[in-house]
Amino acid sequence: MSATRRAAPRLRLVSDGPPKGAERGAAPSDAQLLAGLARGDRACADAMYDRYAADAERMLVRLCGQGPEIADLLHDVFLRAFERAHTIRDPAALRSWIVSVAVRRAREHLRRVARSRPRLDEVPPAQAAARDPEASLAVRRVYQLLDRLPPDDRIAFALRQIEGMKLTEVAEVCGVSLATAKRRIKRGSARFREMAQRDELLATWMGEDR
Amino acid sequence: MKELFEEVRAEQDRQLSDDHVRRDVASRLRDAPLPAPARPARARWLELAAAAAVAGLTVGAAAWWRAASDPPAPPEHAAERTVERTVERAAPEPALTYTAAPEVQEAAGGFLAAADAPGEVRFSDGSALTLAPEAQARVVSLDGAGAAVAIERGRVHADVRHREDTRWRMLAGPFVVHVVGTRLAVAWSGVDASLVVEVTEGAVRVDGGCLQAPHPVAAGDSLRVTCPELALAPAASTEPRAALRPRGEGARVDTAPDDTAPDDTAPDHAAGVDTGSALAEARRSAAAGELERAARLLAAVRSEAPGSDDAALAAFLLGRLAFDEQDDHEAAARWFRTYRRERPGGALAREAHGRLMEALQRAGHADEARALAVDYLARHPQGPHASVARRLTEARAP
Repeated sequence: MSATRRAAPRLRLVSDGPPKGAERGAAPSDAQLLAGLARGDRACADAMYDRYAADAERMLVRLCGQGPEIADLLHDVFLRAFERAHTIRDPAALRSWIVSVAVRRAREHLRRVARSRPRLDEVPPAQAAARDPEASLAVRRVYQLLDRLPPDDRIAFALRQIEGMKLTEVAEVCGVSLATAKRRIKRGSARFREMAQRDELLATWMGEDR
Repeated sequence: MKELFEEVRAEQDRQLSDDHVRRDVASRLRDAPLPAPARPARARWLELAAAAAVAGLTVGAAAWWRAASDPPAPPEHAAERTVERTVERAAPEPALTYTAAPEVQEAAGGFLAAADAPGEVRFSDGSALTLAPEAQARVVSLDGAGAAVAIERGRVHADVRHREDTRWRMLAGPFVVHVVGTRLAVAWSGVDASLVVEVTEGAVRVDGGCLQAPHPVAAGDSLRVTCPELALAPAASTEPRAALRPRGEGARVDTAPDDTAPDDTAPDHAAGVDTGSALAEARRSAAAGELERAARLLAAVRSEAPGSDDAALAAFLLGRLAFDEQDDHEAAARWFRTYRRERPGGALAREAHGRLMEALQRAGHADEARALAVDYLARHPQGPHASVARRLTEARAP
């Protein structure tokens, strides 16, 4: 009888496995992610990021426009989320909580930028916009006009008009009453429409609003 | 308006389908330690209230003591003091610290220099700088939010850990690169006043120099700027007097420092010159074999900023030039003595001590060299010149 010597299989550890409490092969629930994060479980932090980074990034882009600062803002959102996740009482609210963290971070950023921007009566010419060379001129122009709105009005307006949120959702992620959210959206809409109708580039898009 | 925002949404969604930003941020988050859970707001309020109470008691006690000994201060001044003391008690972030790898030489004036191999400098917040061979930088300031690092010459790669309050600045000649958390490389040459910024992660803002306005540089992009009017030594110039250009309209100073003979043909020096850049340029000239030019630049630094760290460093470099390149051991001994006199506890004091000992021995001053050798072994028994010192002390007096 000849004995065949078989090579031992070469195993490579590719992961620490699912977060504690999650069944093998099943994605951990938000409650398991939060519990793991409270224990300092790195895998849970990574899983939370993988699950919600796209939502947070989309929110930042909707509010601030596409630009090089988005990466730093997204980084801040998750640093803050990891630090404060233990304050969430309802794990089912994790996604909306992360979105509201992103909205708050965007608001801080927009306020800081607004403070440092010179106050101009006239919006600079569209050709001067260089925020994102890949974006169409119209999109860049929209964000140039949004830069002229007060940050709170801009956020409520962008959440409603660009992201397409319901009024109650806008109020929730902004942390304000429904009436306040409506008031901000109304103010933002009126001011944006006024500027866009006078704008050579955007006026064509405002046909039905004229 | 609805169609316009649909267009905006569609374009943004198209761009968001590329996940490079999310991958970059994931990599940054995974590189950094997981932040500890923030303490509950209630606990922080209690701490603040306690601090305020302590501050109030302190101020109250101080005011009582002052009232007992001094004329009473106007009420508004007392209010200012209260605010000041309360602010003082708010604990600021501790300033960052750093450690340099053995490949990085730490020299006078806070210089960090990499010789033949890249050298890393690690900061307490997890950030790191890597100096390319021949690069030279200086940590100008450190605080809780970051550091200011002046690149004297060469290429420095920075991996800055991003936090919400991160504020790092890379100073390259007249340029300032504002960094809030990213990976980038900055290369600076004072010779032609050229700056290269290459961002691999995050975003930075560059201003100063000949830039008309702050210039953002995003991940994957690079910025190359050359300011001919700021160049120390324009490559195309054939006029040696233009080698070092003044920052302002100051008069040219052609005096020869110390005991260096004046050179009428190429002063290579003007008032108001940046001595750090001149030092860097002198090193470059020496490396290129332009020894006279290097010596003139170093002498210019000494006359421009007498008593400064740069002047002391110039003295040391003049000694090294005389010793290594010119075999003028008498001159070398004079310069090493000068350095030791000006910076007895300087970063290069041990090296100057050893070099002086060697220079004196080679110049034929055996007794002086032997006395220095005894002193060297007492101070630096494991120093790089210890074996030379031992040979000198063991040699019989002639």
